[in-house]
Amino acid sequence: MISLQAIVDAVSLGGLYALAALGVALIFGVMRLINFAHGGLIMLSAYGLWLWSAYPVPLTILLTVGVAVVAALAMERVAFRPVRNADMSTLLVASFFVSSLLQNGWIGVYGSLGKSVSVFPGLLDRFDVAGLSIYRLDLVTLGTTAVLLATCSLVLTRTLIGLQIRAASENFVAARLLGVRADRVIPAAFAMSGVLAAPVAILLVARTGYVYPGIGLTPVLIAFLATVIGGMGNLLGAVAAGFVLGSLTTALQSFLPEAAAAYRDAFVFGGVLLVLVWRPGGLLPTKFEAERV
Amino acid sequence: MGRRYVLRQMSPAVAGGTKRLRVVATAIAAAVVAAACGGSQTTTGNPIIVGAVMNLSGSISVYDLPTLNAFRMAVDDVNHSGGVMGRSLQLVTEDMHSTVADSRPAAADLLGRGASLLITASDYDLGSPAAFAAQSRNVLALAAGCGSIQCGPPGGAPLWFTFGNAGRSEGAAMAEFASRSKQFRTAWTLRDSAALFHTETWKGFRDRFTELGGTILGSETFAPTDTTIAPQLSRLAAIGRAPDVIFLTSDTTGGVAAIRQLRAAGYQQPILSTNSFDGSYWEQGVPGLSNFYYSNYASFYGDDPSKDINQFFARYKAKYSLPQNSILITGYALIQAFKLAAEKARSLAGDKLTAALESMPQMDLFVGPTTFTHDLHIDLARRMVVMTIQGGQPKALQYWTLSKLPRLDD
Repeated sequence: MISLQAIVDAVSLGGLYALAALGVALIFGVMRLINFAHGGLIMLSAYGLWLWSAYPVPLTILLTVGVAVVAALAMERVAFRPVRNADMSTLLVASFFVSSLLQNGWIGVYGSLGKSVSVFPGLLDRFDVAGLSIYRLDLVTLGTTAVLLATCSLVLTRTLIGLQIRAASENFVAARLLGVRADRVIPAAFAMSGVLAAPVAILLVARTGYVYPGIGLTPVLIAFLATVIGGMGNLLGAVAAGFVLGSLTTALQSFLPEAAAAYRDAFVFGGVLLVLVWRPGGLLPTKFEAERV
Repeated sequence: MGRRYVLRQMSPAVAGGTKRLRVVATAIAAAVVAAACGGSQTTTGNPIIVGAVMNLSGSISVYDLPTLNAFRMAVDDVNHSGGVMGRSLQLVTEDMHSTVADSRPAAADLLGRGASLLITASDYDLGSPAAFAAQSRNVLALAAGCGSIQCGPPGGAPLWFTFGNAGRSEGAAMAEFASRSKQFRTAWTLRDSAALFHTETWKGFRDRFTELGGTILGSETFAPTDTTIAPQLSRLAAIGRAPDVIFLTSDTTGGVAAIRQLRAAGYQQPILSTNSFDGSYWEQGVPGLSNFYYSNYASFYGDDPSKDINQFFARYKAKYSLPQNSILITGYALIQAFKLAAEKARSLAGDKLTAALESMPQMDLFVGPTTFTHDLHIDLARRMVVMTIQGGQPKALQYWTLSKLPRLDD
């Protein structure tokens, strides 16, 4: 029974990781930027929940998504647009800078102690199905991931801006030569990444009830790994890798002996290394990466 | 300059009136000062410089700023009652910005300014560079709330002492409380693997609980940044037997999430933990929490078993604001201990002060009677207060003093 329960736990965690990975992979696809500041968007949304949790639920969600979108657009305009054509490492440094600025700026204003907030407590109710404990939150996580993944797919495949984002993520130079406007397509991708950051914060805080300045760091680190092993820039690959990482983490936590479980993350990262040795381009490499490799 | 210029511009009558006013004002000011100092003893000579390397900014400032306030209150009280060997204390601070690299330079600066006592950060990693700098100049180093035996001779710093609670002691105290006061016989433990303090607390609990005849049904670890503890809860469910008590060792970053998920999963057993859960800022994450117990330095809610502690926190609140934690009383105890040591040693040399601190058993300090030995510069058996939270309300239950020292051999 513990194995079946582990699958339920893995799918729930994997869904959360997949959402985080999707946001990071989207920006990587368009800009070749690993946006570590995506963690800052998750943090801002999480604090938004703390600030606005007393409002009606739809308004809270709207404001939480809104703050992430505005922050994503602002960071694109202020921090990344000026260095858009710079080397990949410059972009990476810029993203670390924005991430650190957001985190420390927040500590400067609100202090480093976390804030506790009980949002949507009903989501932590659970029910038993054939001996398995399932939380409503597990279902909501999975449902949110499915809906957002489907919406993202629709936007990317059925709309003009989506087509442009996909073209840009395949080959940005060629796309620009064919008339895709960078100043339109990149902010659109950032706005989408903001929309994807907010649900990560909501699902996370609904479970933990605690908001702190470093809350976005773990999701963004996992998202980064998922982007790498998913095949740099491949959205579906990143989502699949998010589920793989969630499953691996849960499996190790469930089946390792207690003494070894304390080093669980070392095993997870070791697994990532093995995947990269086996497939250097990731699980589903993009054409762009295939040429480079 | 400015004042003389103004007087020259005034008519003699006005200037004379102003002079009289100044004489009256001076007399009033002198009277006020005399009244404020009523009953106090005077100090002479150069002040003794107390240098404090503190995290006045950055993530740890939330703990160090209140502790600094406690230093200030203690220094004021000491100066008010005759100073140390007739000399007043002068507190000088340097910010180390919650960054280990700034620890030693900040200490060197304070030592260069003549500090006779160096106060370090309350953590081995953050404080040891400053302690080593002090040691190289034969200056005593004191940490307010370091909870590791490493803050002293075992960490290579024989002139360094701490007034914190050791992790092992807190764990052992809660094991004794669980076993003797509550008659709990089976426990399940959940340990935050990120900080050494939590591992030490866990070992302290495990050792004492089993020594007293208890059984640990299962032990799990988690990382404070984990988004879920569902796998750990699944393993707890798979044991097939509910524990009498849950021992959780973590801080609020990961701990609130753990408590929330434990309660949501239907585990309503008493949860025992440590001073990492001090302060009420985190309780909204688990509204109406009950059956939660933790060891602590003191209660700042006005219900501590010690009247002195309650008076101290009332003064603190009036002067600053309601504190977020009670570990700050170690700051007050630190200055008390320095005064006792200096007056016993009749010297400010680090080695002499160290010898004095090692030879004063059961020092009467604010944190409770405290004993240091030649090998251990932390008191492993000092009293703690056991706190409880019922219906979301924190409350002091009783002092708990360990019946024997915790094991340190693994």
